[in-house]
Amino acid sequence: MTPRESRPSRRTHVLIALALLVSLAALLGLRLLAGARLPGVSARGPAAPAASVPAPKAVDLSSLEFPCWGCPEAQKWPVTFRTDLDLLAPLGNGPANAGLFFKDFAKPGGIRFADATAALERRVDGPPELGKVLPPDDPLLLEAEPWCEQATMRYYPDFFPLQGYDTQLPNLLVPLNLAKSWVARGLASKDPARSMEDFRRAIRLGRLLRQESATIITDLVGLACIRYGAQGVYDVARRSGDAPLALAAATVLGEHAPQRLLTSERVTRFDLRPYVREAAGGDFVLTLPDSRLEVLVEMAKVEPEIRFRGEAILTLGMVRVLGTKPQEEKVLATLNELAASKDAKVAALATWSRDNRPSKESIDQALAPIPK
Amino acid sequence: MTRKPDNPATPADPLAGLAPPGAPPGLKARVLVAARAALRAEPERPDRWSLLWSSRPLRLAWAASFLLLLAGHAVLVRPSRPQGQAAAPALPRPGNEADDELAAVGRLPRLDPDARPLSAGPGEPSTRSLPPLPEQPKENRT
Repeated sequence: MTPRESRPSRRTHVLIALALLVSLAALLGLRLLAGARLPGVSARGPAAPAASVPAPKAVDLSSLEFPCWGCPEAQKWPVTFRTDLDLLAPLGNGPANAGLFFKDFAKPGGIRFADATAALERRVDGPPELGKVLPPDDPLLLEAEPWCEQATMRYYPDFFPLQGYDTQLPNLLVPLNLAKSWVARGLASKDPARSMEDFRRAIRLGRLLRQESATIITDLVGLACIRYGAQGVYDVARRSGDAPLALAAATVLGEHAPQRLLTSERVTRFDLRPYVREAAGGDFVLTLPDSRLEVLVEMAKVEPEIRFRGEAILTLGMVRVLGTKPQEEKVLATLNELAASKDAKVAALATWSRDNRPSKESIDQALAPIPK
Repeated sequence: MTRKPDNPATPADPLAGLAPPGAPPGLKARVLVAARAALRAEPERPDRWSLLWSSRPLRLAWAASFLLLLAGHAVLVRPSRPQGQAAAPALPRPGNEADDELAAVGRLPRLDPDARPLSAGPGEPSTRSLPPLPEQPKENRT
């Protein structure tokens, strides 16, 4: 009789089968995390962590000053509110980066870009000064509310890299329309407390947008959101006889236009348009005085506000392509110096500007005359 | 092993040399003992891997999971990546209605580059109203 044969172990087979399932599941998870979704099903945004918003500071008329934006010393001020916005709408204390919610609407590749487009189509006529707004109970409006109770908002480099003229912007139409819609809802409400909640939410969103100060347009949209909200606070405070609050709101409103003007003044400093002419072939010819290049270099090196400094750095990249040989060398030396900056944003922009020649399209967009 | 013939001249069994060899002595007893022992012993239990491998419910569950995962991969839509958004100018330009809204926010009041300085006489050519510079560039705007 032969000894009983022992059955072969199936260990390898079982392990292979399990590994196959685990691999497929892991890959599916990764794809979902990367934003893959079912067709026709909109991705739901992340949930905002719980947060609370402190009450606004009491307005102390004895310390409320009206900043003189037209005075010479204003040239040294950062282009931001001098009045304490905590008088109107303090920021919440939420621990999350509010950009986590808004980044998904980015145009054209954000995973919720379609949601943003659909929301814009749901808009209805609001008060004349606000134009079209979302309906008061619009799901996007409700979904975004807790995100305006967070304490921070930043995009670069958390969600988007700084890549010069190719830098991805958040879809600013979303916060702009949210702010207008909250203000419209607040104006329509008969309960002043609820109205104030909506106005303050718009102001908080504006403050969050201005926090990072990475791009001029984001800052301007933030400024617009604050203006919409402050206007609402002013109107309701005035109607309800709350003179100190109305005065604080009016002071904030008074700072809106000077900030836009001073932003324009900064833009003028790095604007190359006055020094270009279009040649017969459609190319731009730059005749930049060295003194203007000095202004640009100075701005790129020491401008304290990163949104203006970044634009100056990118403009240097243009000068490097379109300027004279000595200007090209000066720009290259400056970009090399800035690329070694300890400020990560400055270093990223300078490195990009140094290593990438602006495309024809970028040059056309930057130098084409502004339509009147 | 062959037996010796009784008469060497005539072999009694001419096929005797072809007989198969007999079983070794004691083999039968050993086999019977071993068989008895094998019958008394418990049957060999398959290892856990073989049990997993041959379990019908587990096989069905595996196949269902596999098909579900494959279907999931097939159905999911890959997100379109931001394709390096077109060069973003410092300030947006008008496009469609929604973009116009954003452009309106970004449209800043500009200093008029063709404004005459207060000191310019009536016949002098216009110069830009840019911040004062040591050397004023020649007019070269388009």
